[in-house]
Amino acid sequence: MKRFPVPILLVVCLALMDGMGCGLKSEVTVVKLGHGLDPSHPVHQGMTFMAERVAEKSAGQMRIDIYPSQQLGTERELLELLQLGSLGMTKVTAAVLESFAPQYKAFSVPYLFRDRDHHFRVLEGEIGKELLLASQAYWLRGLAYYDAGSRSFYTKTAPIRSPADLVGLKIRTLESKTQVDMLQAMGGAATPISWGELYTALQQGVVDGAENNPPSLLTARHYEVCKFYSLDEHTTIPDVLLISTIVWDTLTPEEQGWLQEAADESAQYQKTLWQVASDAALEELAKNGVEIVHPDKAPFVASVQSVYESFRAEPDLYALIQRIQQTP
Amino acid sequence: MLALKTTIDRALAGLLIVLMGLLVVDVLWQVFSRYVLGAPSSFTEELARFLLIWVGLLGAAYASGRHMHLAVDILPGRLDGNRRLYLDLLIHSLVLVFVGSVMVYGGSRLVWVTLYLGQTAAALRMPLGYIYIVLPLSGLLIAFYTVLAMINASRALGGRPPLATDSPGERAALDVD
Repeated sequence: MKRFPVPILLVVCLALMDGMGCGLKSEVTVVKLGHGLDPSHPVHQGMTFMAERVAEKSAGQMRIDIYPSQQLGTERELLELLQLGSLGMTKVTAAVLESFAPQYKAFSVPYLFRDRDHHFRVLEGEIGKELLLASQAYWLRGLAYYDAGSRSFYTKTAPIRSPADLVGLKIRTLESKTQVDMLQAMGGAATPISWGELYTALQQGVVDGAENNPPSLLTARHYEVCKFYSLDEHTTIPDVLLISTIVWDTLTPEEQGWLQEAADESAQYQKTLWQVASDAALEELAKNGVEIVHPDKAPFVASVQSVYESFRAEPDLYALIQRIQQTP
Repeated sequence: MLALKTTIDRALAGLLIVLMGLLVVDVLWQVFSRYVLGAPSSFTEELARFLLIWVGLLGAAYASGRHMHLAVDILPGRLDGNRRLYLDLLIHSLVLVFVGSVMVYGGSRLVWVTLYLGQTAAALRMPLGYIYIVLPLSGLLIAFYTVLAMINASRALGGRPPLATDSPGERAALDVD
């Protein structure tokens, strides 16, 4: 031990400095937000807007740091980090939230909402607020809903004009029982495949088609393989902005107020962003040679009645679904 | 201690063989149901993922019992005698700290939280906490093997023979390498 190696000394010094730096910044409340979307996505832009509003409202005393593109993990992993209190906030689709807080299963019901306006009346009304707070029992407090549009089928060989066109086709679905049941009720063969492997699966014919909203179809470049997009809009599953109750409880009432207000404002702002992005995506898809079909929804609605009835086995959920449908 | 190590080794090897076998059957079934039956099974992918987690983490424990993990051995290769043994002790204690804090403590907390809050697997609909049990389990096994290795290292420092050795007969019985 004649000489202490210089690189090690440097590393130790840096580590010490870093630790001290953190100590100095502590008068600003920082909440970390992790999510899985690309920074160009309209939902990410909605959250950036929220972060800006929080900074303005608190005059710089509170900050939200956003980590996009699965830097901190996939949606399911992020929810676990929230439950452990290791991460402050996240944004996930309500479909993933099902495994954590079963009430959110209601959103996976096909044709639950009559139209876009009905969808927002439910989410922004009493039922929406109730659901956001209900997940607190699972240490996840909902702050706001973001619009994630409606999911529709896209296929390789022929458009889907009625449920009969789905017979014999293998369609990729989310890994959720409701989604699998829905597809089987319509007549297709549900094949759960992870989103990242879907492009190759479509190319090689493992599945004949999939379903998603227009911006996702565009950004995942699946339109290069699937040339038919049939806008049957079978499910409208919103994105949910959540905060860990462990972190929420450490905030002062004032900070909680800023955050909630900023979240509400960003949800309104994101709604318009989504509409613009969705229309632009459809235009771009058409430019790339995708045939966009607008099928009659009635036969699709009729085909999924059995899915709706199957929820009778879960009385709480069934009551919730009925309340949503009865909302004017 | 020697007898305990042999029992744990055997049980672990047996369990790993069963899990690996299940994994192969599961993936074959996935391919068969997708291409031959035309009615793809919805649980196979998730089951395969969970089995892989178990095989990976329990396999890591098994490998640590056999000292088969990857290591950068530039420094140990240059040392001999007692210096080498002191270094071994240091390395083993670092492993013990990691395994204890991350796998056993952190893993148990994860298991507890997921079981308490009732998170379920999307396709299999079973509590995810059961899958995560492998984390503290593997941690405890690695801790056991590490403590054993530390006892042997300190015995060697005192000039005494090691406790548990891989006897040639036993190696043949379990043979993997």
